Amino acid sequence: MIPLNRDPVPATADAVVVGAGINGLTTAYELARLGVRDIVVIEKSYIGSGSTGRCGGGIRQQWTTEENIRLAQESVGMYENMSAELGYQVFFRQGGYLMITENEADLPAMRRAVELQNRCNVPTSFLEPSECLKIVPDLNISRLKGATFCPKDGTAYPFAVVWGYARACHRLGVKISIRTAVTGITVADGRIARVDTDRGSIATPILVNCAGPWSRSLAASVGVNLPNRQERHEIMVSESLKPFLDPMVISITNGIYFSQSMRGEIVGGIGDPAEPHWTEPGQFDTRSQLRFAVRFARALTDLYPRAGDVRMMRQWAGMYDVTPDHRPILGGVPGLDGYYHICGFSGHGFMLGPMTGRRMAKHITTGAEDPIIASLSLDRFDKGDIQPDAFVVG
Amino acid sequence: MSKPKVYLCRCEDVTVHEFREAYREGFTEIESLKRYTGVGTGFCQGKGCLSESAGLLAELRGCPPQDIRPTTIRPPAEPMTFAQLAALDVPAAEEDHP
Repeated sequence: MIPLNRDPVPATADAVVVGAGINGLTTAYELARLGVRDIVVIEKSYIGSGSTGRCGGGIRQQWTTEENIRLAQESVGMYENMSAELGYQVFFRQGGYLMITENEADLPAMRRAVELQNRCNVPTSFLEPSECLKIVPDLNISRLKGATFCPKDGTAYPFAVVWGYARACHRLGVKISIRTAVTGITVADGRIARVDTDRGSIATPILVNCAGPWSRSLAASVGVNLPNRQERHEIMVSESLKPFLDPMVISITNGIYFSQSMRGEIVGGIGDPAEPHWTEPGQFDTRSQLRFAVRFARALTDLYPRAGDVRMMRQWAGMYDVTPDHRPILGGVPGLDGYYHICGFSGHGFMLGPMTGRRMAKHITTGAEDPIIASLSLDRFDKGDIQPDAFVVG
Repeated sequence: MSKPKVYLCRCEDVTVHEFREAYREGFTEIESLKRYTGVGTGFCQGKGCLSESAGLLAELRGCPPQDIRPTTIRPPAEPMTFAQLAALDVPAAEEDHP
């Protein structure tokens, strides 16, 4: 049951989570499992309406930084059991990720990434172009120089995941207020004190900022300056076809990615270096562009010529919340007790979210130091401790 | 004899009964009902079922039909093949962004 809650919000809570996407709902669920009693999730639109519901649903462990590999690997472990744990079918399918390149110059970094992933027990292997045909028989390999493949990567249906978590939250007593906007946050004596919404005010000692592309402006309202910028990324879905494509195919050369959903559709997108960057929600423009459809169709039919006869059904856009090193920002900030952020996933929140929520919930409830959270804290940008992940695609 | 099925969305085989069940499960907004039942996501992209869905949702909610806003319309207006799209010129990136 996912009720459309049009009631006033509760007057008090033990924790308020802003955003009912993958990060907000997994965090609320894990907090509730750890015994936090009165949790309220505030969502200004509907569940999954932001970046989560607009994403491609891909879950990969092929990264070049250890934090991203670990978070993704642990999240895959959670996705493997998610339908059973939540009692809800999330359509997780491990068809693998095939990451391809047309540039000889990428190969050393790809081989190093495979070594690092293998050290973390992620079963990635390096493939010669001809070996890709065993995985995707009709792939155009004429310009490929190499690829990496991890059979344990996969996809899930993003809406089913957030619906499953929302229902599990509801069973644990978490209140989810959709169509409710945060209008202000009160800080008193260096502590979070109150969250004001258009359905009333909530006195709370804890605020978790899971607002995705809106996290920067929410943080700014309590004096926290995030370096995140926001980008539009477009994506599309085709008509449904019989199962023909096992993995997600992703090119680190031109940024195209495509997979086949369990409904049979090709789901895919392509990065566009010409897209602008924004920092204020008023600038966000998620209208669709013909430019995307043409660029995607050209790249898809080049890489997979048999797709030429397939029809595109619809396209849409979503926002990435991008940090300077393309790694998320986790934890709190000194001098503001009770404030936490889980943001800046740079287009990869859906795949990293389940384990991020679990680790952050433990950190929030126990205060225990977590090495991954510590290495992804906001102050890394002041310290100049920046180690960008090289495999950002799409 | 079982009750006859009434189809709301003929492209995706969504029945009136399924739509009502989804509402009962808590999918009470047209955008969520679209993503849960698949209504309006088939070949006609909602041209044949969106107004019927909105009417049924208004009835379920007990509100005037005009209170139900349609789902966001997505391009293309009619499905196009990737070959057709790939044959078009790539439009220039928009330059009117701040």
